[in-house]
Amino acid sequence: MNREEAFDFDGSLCSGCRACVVACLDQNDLPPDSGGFRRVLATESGPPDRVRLEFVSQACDHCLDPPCLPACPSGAIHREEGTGLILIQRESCVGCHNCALACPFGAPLLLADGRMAKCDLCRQRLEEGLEPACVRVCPTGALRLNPVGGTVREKQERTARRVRAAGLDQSRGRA
Amino acid sequence: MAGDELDILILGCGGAAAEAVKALREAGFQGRVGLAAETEGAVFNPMLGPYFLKGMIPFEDCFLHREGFFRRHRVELFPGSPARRLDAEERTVELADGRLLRYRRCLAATGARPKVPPVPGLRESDRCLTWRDAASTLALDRALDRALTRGREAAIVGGSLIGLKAAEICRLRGVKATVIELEDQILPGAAHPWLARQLEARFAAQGVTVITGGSVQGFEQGKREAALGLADGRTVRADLCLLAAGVEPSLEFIDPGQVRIDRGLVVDREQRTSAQDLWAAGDACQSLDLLTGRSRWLGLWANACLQGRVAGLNLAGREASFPGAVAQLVSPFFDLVFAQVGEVVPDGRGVQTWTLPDPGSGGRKMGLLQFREGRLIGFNLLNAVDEAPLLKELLIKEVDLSPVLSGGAAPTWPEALRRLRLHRAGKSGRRHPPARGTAPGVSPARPGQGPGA
Repeated sequence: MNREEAFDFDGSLCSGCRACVVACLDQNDLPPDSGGFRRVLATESGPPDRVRLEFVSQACDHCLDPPCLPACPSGAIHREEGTGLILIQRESCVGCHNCALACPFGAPLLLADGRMAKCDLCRQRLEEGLEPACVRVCPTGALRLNPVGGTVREKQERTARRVRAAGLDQSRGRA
Repeated sequence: MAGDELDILILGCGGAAAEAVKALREAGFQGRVGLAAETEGAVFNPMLGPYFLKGMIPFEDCFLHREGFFRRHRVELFPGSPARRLDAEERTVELADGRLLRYRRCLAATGARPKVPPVPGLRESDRCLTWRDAASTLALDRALDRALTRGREAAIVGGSLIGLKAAEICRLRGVKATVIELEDQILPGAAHPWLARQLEARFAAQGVTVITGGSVQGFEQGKREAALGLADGRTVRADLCLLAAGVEPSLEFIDPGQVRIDRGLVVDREQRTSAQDLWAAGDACQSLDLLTGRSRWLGLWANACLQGRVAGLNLAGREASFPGAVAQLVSPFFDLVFAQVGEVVPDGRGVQTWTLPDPGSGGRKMGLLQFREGRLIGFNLLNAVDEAPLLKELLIKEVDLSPVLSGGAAPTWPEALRRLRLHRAGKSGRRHPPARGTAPGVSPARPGQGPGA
């Protein structure tokens, strides 16, 4: 695998169905109460008589300059050569939570074994030529996988801004 | 070697020094680089010491780099010989073994060391330990084994982060522990008194005795144990005493008449000190605190590494600057995760405090927010690190929260977050008056809610 790809999210197509969240839980064998690696936020805007409802689907952005990486004291978080993916070598993770405090999106998730985990873009599926599980099940095409480029990065930035504006605590284990 | 001039001399052997060397060579710097330090060239990460002592990782994994790292980066090592005196005007460094090194430019990355309370006998006693570097971590490991074998106790002087980590390790390894903190609460400066009391109760439930307001006045070493005498007349007897009363930058080799020192060496955003050709990085220095806009010593591992990298790039002729930082820490204790971000201070002095239990979590989760002049200035979290991103954004961007505060303190943690989210959404142009009985702004999306379900 030697390609750089990233999630490409189109908010105008997202219906907030959370199929992506369920697919992520299933693919990664995560307990439902963990909330999984992907979250869907709903934001309301506009005047009370014309409220506009929008959804944002967000997982780890595999940032170009990820704040979680230098925050990790054990070197468990690293950037994979070739793919540019930000991965957690879980056996090296000591569960110190510094990545969770550093990530602006709340992407790292502590699992029951006391070590962090997060979205790896379904690396195994990519190796087999498949799409990430969340992309595969998205019924509206809001969530896609595209080569990293100007537009994708710009969209990631925009999504990240919306997620920050919405607040991140909505997502896990409460649906 | 003495008399030769090094292009760059690095003092210290921690994360900042290692990152500086990496950055220098990555940037193509070909000149002579020397490094003088107390140790033999392995780079120990003090953040990982607790996890070794808990039995989670082998000792070897506590090192960022092993001995060969500096040689691979063509660094001339002066191991076992820390700096004794630096003359910034002559551009020389005298080492502890008497050698004199000349430099064109020098990077002080000597880190910080534990403070020893000024009680006669503490420093000299072999029952008293400090804990920071590789050697002291191994010494503590042996001392804990010894204490367990003898069924004895540990006294920990200082209810700091390190002191509490040590108390947790003692309990996990079956050693009784007493924490003696000088202030009226544990984690002074990091935890609000209200949250500190919650933590004290959790530590007590794990079998740790916590004494606050305990001033150690005397020390006696007997054959079988040591005795710490407190100002109120109490005596704490222990097999081993761990001194965890904070750290101070290792700068005794610097002449304060030559270089500006506050708590650490004061540096600009390129990591230059006030002295010509002298740079500093890591815990030896202090730099921009994003919240106050002033220079402040923070002592964070990730910052130290980044500052080392910035210094290395600038020394190599590239342009790099340190963006500044915010005081923050996060630490697991037993089954808890405590976090602090920004300024957390006692009540009063124009500070408004929200103490926020989360009734839905059975008392496990709680938060504490502090505001001044309508802005969030700092917060504590217990088992709620997930909520940090929103709060950090409000803090760093100094979002005006006056409308939220004018409604009085929120009664619970979820309600506080709801109000802050709503206001935050408003700041991005989506604010509207809440309808009765609803919580507009942001709400969890639920399966089956959308048309695609």
